[in-house]
Amino acid sequence: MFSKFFQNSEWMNVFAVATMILFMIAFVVIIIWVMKIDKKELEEQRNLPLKD
Amino acid sequence: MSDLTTTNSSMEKFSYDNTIVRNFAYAVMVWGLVGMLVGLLIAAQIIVPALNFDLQYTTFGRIRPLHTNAVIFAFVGNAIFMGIYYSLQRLCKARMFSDLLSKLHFWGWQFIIVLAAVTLPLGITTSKEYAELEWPIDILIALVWVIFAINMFGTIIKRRERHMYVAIWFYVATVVTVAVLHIFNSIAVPASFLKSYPIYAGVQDALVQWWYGHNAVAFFLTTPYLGLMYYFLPKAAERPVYSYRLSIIHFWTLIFIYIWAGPHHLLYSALPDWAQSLGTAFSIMLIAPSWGGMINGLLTLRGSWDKVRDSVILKFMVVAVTAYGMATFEGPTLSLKNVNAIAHFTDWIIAHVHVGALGWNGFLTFGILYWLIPKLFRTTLYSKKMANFHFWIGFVGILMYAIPMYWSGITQALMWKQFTPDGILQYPNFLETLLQIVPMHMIRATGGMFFYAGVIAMVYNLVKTIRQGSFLGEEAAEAPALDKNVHFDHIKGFSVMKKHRLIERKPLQFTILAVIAIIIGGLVEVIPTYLIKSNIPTIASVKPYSPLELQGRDIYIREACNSCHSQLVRPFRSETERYGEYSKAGEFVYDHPFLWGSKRTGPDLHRIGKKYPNLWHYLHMDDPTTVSPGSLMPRYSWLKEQVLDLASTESKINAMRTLGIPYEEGFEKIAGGELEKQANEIAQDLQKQGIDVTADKEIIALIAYLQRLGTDIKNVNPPQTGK
Repeated sequence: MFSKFFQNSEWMNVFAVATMILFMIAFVVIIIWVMKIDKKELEEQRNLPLKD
Repeated sequence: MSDLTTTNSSMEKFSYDNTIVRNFAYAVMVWGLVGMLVGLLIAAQIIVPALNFDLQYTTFGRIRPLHTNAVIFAFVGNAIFMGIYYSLQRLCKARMFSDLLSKLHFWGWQFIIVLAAVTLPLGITTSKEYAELEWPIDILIALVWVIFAINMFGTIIKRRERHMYVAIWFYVATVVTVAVLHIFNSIAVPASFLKSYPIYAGVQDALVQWWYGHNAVAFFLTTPYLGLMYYFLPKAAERPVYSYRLSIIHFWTLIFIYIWAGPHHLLYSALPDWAQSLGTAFSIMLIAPSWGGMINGLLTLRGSWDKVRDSVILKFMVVAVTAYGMATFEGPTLSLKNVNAIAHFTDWIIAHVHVGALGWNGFLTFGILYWLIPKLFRTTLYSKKMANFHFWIGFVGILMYAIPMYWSGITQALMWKQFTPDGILQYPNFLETLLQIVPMHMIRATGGMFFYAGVIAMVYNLVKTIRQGSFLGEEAAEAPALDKNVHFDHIKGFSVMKKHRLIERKPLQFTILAVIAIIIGGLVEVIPTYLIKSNIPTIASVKPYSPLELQGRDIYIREACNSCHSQLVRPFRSETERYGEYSKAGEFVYDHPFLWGSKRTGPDLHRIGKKYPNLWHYLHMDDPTTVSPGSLMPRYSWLKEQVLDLASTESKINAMRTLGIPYEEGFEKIAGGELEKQANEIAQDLQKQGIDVTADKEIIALIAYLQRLGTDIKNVNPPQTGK
């Protein structure tokens, strides 16, 4: 089944859109994650190079 | 760790290994001087080809990869290791995992560089840009890289600091991605100890090569340097990075997007259109994370720009970050098809590359060296005045390099594409377009000399600094042991957020996530190219190379003719008028490796076959000016003296058959005879015209190959698509 699927290029349009959606999902998750990080914790990490 | 519940706060004493950092710093200076000097030499050879001193070992094609390998893998490579070995120990509050591995890494890497310096001038090359080294050296690179990876991950695992600072994320992404790129791009079938053929052919080889080539820029020249920027810029400015949130977004989006953009090196080529479009789309998206990083770097100095006036280190770093921003804006611009149609194969690309290399990599390295050497040697910089001189002459050098190259690139493109009102090419002789840009090449070489003068001043300044100081090999440090029992109950929010925090602190899970982000793009691009048959239309008239043509092709590779000549006629009228029918994917199915090239210092050669008689090629290789007055191509007079290595024919045919080239079983036994027959025909043709040459000379094989180029589809119907 997969070999037939891969042997024509009509699915490329769906494929390209799917990859963009995948990236957008990943991007949104990262943004949410970053916004949720505790400020104090963030400040601590930010200052790490200055503490050695 | 104030927000974490810890149970162990006992201090542990240990020391940082500064000796390995110092050794890499010395290597940076030595290889920087060597690599850039070779760069100057090839810049001069483009103007005066006789500067190869009529030696094959110093000819442009052979030492151009020596320059690129020396500055990328020796100068920049050692700078990456220098910076990582210094910063990683301090960010992890731990000595490197193993002193033995550190030493093996250092000496192994230097040994590889020496092997490259020996093999490339000898013409031992795969021809694949930035991956020219042959298979035994490739294996050695993989081994040394594994040693580095073990040492790095070992240090991260035994760290005393719970958080992995964002610089370490960039280091991790570098280590895993370079390993993946190097392995997949280097897979080859050896024909002998120092000769191999890549398993990929034609279009597929081109895609894999530029997936590698583009990401070598991304993950060797960019991500490790971003890690260094996130550590050394705050150190030099004595203030934390502007936004840690932005740095996290910068990291994940950059590594996710970068890997997709490789096909922008192959626009208007025989690569499937969907792959070209994908490469363009992701290249445009790449501006966002790249500029996020640049803005984060520059805003780190907000409120303290007065320091930049007094600190030469910050001056270097500010220009470096700005050059990063310029290069990462220009890159996506060049990946737009309409811009690429003008810029590709011209000096514009050389300008783009050198804004990144001289500005971003060069200046950040210099800034780090000026900061680091006095620290390691417990002294102050010998001469700030000299460092300022370095900054200004280097800065002017970059401008004098880049501006004429942009000018030259646009001039080339306009002249190549210019038609008369009657519809014929205005400049049908390619040489006219080359001679027009000689003044720009002269200014470029002068700019390079300025930049180099600055580097000499820096090395002198740092040597004097080293001599006046006393080296601190073992730097005492102390930190509390890492508490394994960390609780996250105090963190509010979704449980998924807690998991993310866990991942950020756990190197293995973090690395797996980073690898997933990285490999998605690679798989998406490469797998369909192999599986969709209609991507590479087959052409019935395209046949494998004859044994003599195969040998001639290997001489073409040895002399790196593809450094100056492309073999890819793009589907533009200006190119089909000048060169002939545009190149089809199906024409390259037996090309291991592909030889499309990336720069046209000379004309395209894909349709050169049968365009000129054998005599023309013989005279042209012996002394190009005899048939092309004013030519700037070097002489290849040794080709008429050196005897072709006939003994290798059998092993080469066998290797090609292993790769799927349809040579019949037993053909290798009669290949020698076939070769001699074809060589005799060419030699006799030349002898009839008064040339004193025998059939066993290398030039005969090269002529056979050149006469074959692009002739398979002449006078045949358009290619059949599909099965």
